[in-house]
Amino acid sequence: MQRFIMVRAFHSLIALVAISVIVFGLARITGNPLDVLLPIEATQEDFDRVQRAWGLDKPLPLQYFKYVSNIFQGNFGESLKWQDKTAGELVISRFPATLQLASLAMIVSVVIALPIGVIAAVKKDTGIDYAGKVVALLGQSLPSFWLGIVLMWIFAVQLDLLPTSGKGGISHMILPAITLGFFQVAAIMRLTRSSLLEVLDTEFVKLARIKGVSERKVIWKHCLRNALITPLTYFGLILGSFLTGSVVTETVFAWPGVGLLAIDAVRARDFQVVQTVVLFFATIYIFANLLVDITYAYLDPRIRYD
Amino acid sequence: MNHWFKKRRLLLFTPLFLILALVVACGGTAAEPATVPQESGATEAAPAAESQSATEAAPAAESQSATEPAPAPVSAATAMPQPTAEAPPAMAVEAKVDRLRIAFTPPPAETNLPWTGARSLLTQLSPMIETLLDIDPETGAYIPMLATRWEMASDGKSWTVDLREDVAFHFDTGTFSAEDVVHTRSILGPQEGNLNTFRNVWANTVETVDVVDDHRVVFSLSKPDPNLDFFLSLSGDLAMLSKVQWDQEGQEGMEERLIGTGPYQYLEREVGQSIVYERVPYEHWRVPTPDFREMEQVFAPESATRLAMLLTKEAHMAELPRDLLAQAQSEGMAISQSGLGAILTFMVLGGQYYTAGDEAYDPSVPYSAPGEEGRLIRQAMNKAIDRDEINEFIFREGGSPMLVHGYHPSLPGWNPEWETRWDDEYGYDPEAARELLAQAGYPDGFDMKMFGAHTLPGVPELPDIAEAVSIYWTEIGIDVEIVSLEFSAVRPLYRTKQFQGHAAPFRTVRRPIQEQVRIFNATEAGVVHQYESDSLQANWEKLTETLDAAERDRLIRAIGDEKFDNFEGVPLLWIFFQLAIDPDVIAEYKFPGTAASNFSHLETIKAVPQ
Repeated sequence: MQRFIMVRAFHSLIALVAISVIVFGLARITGNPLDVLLPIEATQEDFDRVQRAWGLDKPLPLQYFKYVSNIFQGNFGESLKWQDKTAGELVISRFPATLQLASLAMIVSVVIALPIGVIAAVKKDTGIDYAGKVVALLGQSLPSFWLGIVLMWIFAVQLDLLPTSGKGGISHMILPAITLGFFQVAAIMRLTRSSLLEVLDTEFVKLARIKGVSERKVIWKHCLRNALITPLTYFGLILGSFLTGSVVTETVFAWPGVGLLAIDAVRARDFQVVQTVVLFFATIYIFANLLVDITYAYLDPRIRYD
Repeated sequence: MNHWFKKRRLLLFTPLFLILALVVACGGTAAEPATVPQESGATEAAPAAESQSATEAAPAAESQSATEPAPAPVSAATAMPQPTAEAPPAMAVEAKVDRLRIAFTPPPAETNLPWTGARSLLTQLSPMIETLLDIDPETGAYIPMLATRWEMASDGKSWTVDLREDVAFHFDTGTFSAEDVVHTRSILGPQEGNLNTFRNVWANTVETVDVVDDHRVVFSLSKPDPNLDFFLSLSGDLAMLSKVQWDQEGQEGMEERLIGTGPYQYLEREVGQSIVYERVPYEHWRVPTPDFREMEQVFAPESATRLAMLLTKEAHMAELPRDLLAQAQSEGMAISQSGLGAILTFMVLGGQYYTAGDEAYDPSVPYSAPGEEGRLIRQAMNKAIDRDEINEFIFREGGSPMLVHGYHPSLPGWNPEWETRWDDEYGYDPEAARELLAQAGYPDGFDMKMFGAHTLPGVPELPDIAEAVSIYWTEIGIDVEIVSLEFSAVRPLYRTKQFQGHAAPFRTVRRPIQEQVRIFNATEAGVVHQYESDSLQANWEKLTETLDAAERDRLIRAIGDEKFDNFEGVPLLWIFFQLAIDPDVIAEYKFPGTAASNFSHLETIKAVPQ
């Protein structure tokens, strides 16, 4: 088991190094940050001066080596856009907002998708089922920036029920959470529907009905409990997409999370922050996968010897 | 239960999900709610660097603008403004909201440290800071701010500036004095990593700032500069910082809260969201009591979001693109416009490197062919453009004609002949344009490329301009391929003279013509390399060495004549800055549009009384 963990951890480390190289390279290919940050008045001497001061004149391998060695000391670099902050500080300070939004979006997805999925399964091939499919189709096909603006226009501007944007109380989270969560409604709904259809066709359900258990109890207690396993497994997977997919939603609603931070950083060519955001999410993904692998190995000894 | 264990991923993800739900339930920690009472709302945003900012202007007399009569000259001075009679303090009205919220696009740099970003960074600091000279919002003339008079020595190598007395720094940190001027220059100048727009002026042009007494300083220059008043004004970036704060708290103190002399003082900042100020708890020397107790700039990247904030009264003023300004107006909002045309819009025709021996010059590009051939083609490209149509449909009549890049009737060197010759030589006439092309040897036109996807602060309509111009040119036979690149990818191309055969829509800000020509036309010291020639370079070099006003005017006009006669590019329009305001809350907002912080004078916004 120890060997297994070490091998898997080593693989994770290699993945992280590869990601850091890719991100470091891509961030620099997209342009010189000084072309965004320096004023038009700046001469070539100004470019040279700031590049020297910031160490951007050094060869890329040397910059990368310094970058990595700084990371090992917990230093992800100084932000170029927020110059009195480090990239690490910025990401950490913004992450709770993203986590809050992602969590609520997940709840929104479940609250909308589960009932629709159940009803669609129970009323298979009826108007309700087709309506559910339409909802699923819309969820997958409506671009979130469009949906966000439309929701804002209806519920904030026209109906004056919710705030347009920014961070505040729970009311500020509702529209962005719906916008973010709606995309996943389709997937969860369809998973729930197909899973429930399978369960509805099993022997124990027939037995329950024969024994006179109420239809409501059969569906919501006995069937749903078993049918939920597949969508519940999927929740873990979509959490990642909620975290990383919040870029557009956070931008539309000016929600100060990591997604908006990433957009601001990209616009400002603040590659220290861009790199840190990507590495941060990559680390979460890799660590979660490592945990899953280890858990699998713990539960199924055969895996350890693969 | 057995089913659950068979799905082992659940062991990991279910607890994770529950933890997340708990986080939501507990409300998380991140940034504190930047929400505000219903009526406020604010956001902010800021233009983007370099260009993302609109800046300056030196109306009357290039920089020789001086509004006031001179006191006894210290030495023969070119400009000797004097303090205007101090206007009696206006009484604040009881505003309908305590906190004025302004929705801006996010600034390119978000910080309290003015040397860490280009001029547009100053918008977020402007209510708190003051420069030595102010700009009249309507005429653009330099008027006193923290300086009561300023004067250039006859050799142009030093400027004497008298400072206002009894001006308090915020939070009881003392009063403004000559030491603060010396300190501010030392902070904005020498450091290698500084990004402030005029760092070169404070590090190189200004050699020393000498204290004569507590309220008089002398700027000694490495070379004569009759335009120093431009840099000392709100168009520059020499906003006075407190030496006391620096000595006591250092940079960390400034990061926590910036201390200035403005009518508003720092209250708080939510990184990525907003910055909030409160009016000073004493009678300010310039704006005794601002109408709004607090002011907040809120940053919202999406223009539709800013419009929604305005319409829901979460913001009372919003920076919007012109199409949304129209929508805001139709919903009952008002428009506030800068007092001066502050932004120049034009098409750069890249590759006109005519200076003898320039290896970057490519004579095979049709429009930059040497001599008459290239000139005729550029004239055709100008006559193909319907500027009135662009002004009407793209800028909603928010522009005024620009006949020569950077030149304006209110600036030195204006040649009235340009106005009389304009229709003949530049006026919209596609038929004549086709004839000119034929005359130049291109009856069937030619192919060229245009960078047309980038936007720059202040003019989000640049892609629309590119689209319109490409259509006009196509109509006379020039086949334009639009290349989509971000500005940060376009900029290195023109900077390093790799712009041959490419056109690009461009915008820049109003500045003294000597500096404008340096940036766009100077061979060695230049940046954009829009149009360069030996004769233009010679005139510009003479201009940098000349102090005599009449001679300067002549040289500036000669440069303008060359630019006009040779169709250096496609001058389009002077554009005004515009903001949408809620007329239920804001009665009046006057700003020149030519300050370094595009939206200056926020502290003077007049409220609608309760």
